[in-house]
Amino acid sequence: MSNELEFRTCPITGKKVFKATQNLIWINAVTAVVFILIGGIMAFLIAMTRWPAVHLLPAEMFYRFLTAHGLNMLIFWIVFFEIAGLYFGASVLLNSRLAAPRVAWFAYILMLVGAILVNIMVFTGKATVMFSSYVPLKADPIYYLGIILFAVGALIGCGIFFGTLAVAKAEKTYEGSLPLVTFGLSAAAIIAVYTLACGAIIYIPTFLWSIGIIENLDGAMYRLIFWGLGHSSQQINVTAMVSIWYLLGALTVGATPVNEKVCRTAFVLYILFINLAAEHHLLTDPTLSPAHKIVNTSYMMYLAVLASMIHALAIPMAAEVAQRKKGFTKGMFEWLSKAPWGEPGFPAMIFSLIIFGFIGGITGVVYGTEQLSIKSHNTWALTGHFHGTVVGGTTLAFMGLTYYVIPLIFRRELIGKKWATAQPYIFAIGITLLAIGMGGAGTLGSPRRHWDVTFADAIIPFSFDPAVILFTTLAAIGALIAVTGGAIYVGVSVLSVFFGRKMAPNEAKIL
Amino acid sequence: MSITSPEKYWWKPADLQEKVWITIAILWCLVLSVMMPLWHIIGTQNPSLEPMKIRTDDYRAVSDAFIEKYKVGEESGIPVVEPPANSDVYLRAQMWNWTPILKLKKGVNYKFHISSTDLMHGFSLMPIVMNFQIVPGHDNILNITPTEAGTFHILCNEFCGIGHHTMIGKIIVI
Amino acid sequence: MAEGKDKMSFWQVFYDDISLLFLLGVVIPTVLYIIWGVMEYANAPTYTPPMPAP
Ligand code: HEM
Ligand SMILES: [Cu+2]
Ligand SMILES: [Cu+2]
Repeated sequence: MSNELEFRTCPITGKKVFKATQNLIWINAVTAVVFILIGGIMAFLIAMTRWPAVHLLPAEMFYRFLTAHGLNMLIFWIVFFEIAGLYFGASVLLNSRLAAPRVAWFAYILMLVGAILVNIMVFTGKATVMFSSYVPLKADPIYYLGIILFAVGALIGCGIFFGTLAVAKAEKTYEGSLPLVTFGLSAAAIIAVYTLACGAIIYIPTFLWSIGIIENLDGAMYRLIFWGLGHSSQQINVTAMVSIWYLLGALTVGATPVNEKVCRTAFVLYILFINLAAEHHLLTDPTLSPAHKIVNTSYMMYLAVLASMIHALAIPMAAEVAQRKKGFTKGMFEWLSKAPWGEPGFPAMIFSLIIFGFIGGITGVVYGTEQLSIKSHNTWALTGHFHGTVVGGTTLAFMGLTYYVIPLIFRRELIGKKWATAQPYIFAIGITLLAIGMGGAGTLGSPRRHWDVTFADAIIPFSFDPAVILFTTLAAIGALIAVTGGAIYVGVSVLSVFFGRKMAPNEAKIL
Repeated sequence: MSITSPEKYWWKPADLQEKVWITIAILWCLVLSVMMPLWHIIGTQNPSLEPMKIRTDDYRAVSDAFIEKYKVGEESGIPVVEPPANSDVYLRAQMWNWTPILKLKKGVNYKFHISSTDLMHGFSLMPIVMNFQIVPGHDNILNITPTEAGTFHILCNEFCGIGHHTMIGKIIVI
Repeated sequence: MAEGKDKMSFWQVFYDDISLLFLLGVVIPTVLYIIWGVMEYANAPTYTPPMPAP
């Protein structure tokens, strides 16, 4: 922080990397990895509990750790990483100094304190409420306070992003329009502001309710606004992930968008319509009218689906064009078979795209249909769906990017490149099996957030179709593989960041 | 590249492949969009159509009175109730059971009022897997006509505290 | 840049205007999802159940 204008020039991209930005990216990304580590340990424990053959934890611990898993993964890992991504997109890609680095550090500290408070409450059993904390299920007031602090910090982080865009424009550090990746990240930041505003609208009254100032909160109204936060934050993930696909395309094969108009239109559709999709959490709720449900999930949401379909064409297309230019023109698929499969970034991008689209996306559109939601609401199939989107999609893309951020931004050589290259394959296989197992068991009725699908303690005896146990076992095997992949990711990135060889200032090798 | 600013004028026509793909995608989105309202006309299974709130105390009282009136027995400490055809049926979610156990007739219509007197619960009818969110203070009204005889179970698939996984109800259709 | 703006497509100018996109991106879901939804919950009738005669 000594000098906010100190920078170096990246030997590979020629971009200016400001010291203050670099430090902030470093701290946010490293913190994110700490949270994925906690979340990953929880993932192992809860997955082994849901497997009837092992049934590891007692019920109380299971629900507690499930809450911890949801929060540490979905909120803390993802959002810290996204903040790092936003600073990268605004400052590094635009060659600009970061607006107000001190404020950005303040935002970081708010987020960290919030995340720590939440974790303390959850692990001491004072907030076993799942990450959705539906009222009237009540947690300790400190829990809500932690969430509020975290959200305020993240909101300030978005402010820094927009501030940096303004600084870059005023100081003319770039010419013409924003680069596509930065444009996509702007879309993510816009979505984030709406999301965090919903968070404030719902968590402030909930906090007041938990300390007794407000007497009653309507559960259905809570769900409406909570999902304005809870679901829209998934849309931040989608948008950030797609931006990172474009980035990885550029870094791994030198892909250039074929048509800027088409790609940007898809991002604009996200900005305008994707947040309405929060509605699909409410499709089987009482009181809300079919009109509200249909307008919000269908007429508007499918415009966002359309946007994803556009990206799904544009990204592989850009990679294909870039590869063909390099001379890989034999047949239909030489461009693909000669792609850098031996580098972590390319397989991470492609698997992320495939898992997100084919597992997460298709199930999402199906379960988000008013009547079909009746068949899937709150079953384990839902959990399968979002392990396709936010884990196989977003998390895998973030993992792939990390292997480039470490040499490019932190200037450390990766330790264990072979492990890093194998990692996306292992993680992708694990998550695919996990999602299929969850999806199969859930389609047959297996509930989510459930300690014992054998119902040993139930007053009224009930047992599932044996296929449920089969699918649950498949999910558990997938979980073991995915956890291995996650552990490799944490291992490689932590070792490299702290012990990797420091690269010389002009060393232009990425991997 | 996507990490540098594009050329100055980038608003250019899409090429044929892109146009074809986008057209197909738009058409498919339209099909999807039309299906939801259409199903309200041609389909028979839709989520609750009647917006209705209900005070928790009122709901407890009316469901108790309902049980009292039509009770025909008891099973595992939970009352078994046989309501008449076309009547209002109250199915109460509470920590951690579904009260009462219902005896219904095949082919007969019942107007279900499902609500909770404490936390949120998840109504999940097995083995046909139909799920509804049950929210205290709101009446999830569903017109149900059983089309098959047999024993059905109701799981809870919304986390409702430490006994969540033991919460099971039953509907017997004769 | 100013002199280029005339020849520039309206849509390109619109897409470059992050503040306008920001405004639309916040207003559309706030109106269609939050405000409309809150109004529906607030205006829903409250059921006074007919007690079945004992
Ligand atoms: C190592 C890989 C992972 C494994 C094996 C795993 C496994 C699981 C399991 C078994 C559940 C419990 C489902 C239930 O009982 O309902 C779960 C829930 C969940 N997971 Fe993961 N998970 C992994 C990674 C992630 C990541 C990276 C994220 C987010 C970015 C994530 C987000 C969630 C969420 C939000 C829930 C739902 C919690 C709730 O219902 O409240 N998971 N996961
Ligand atoms: Cu329950
Ligand atoms: Cu429950």
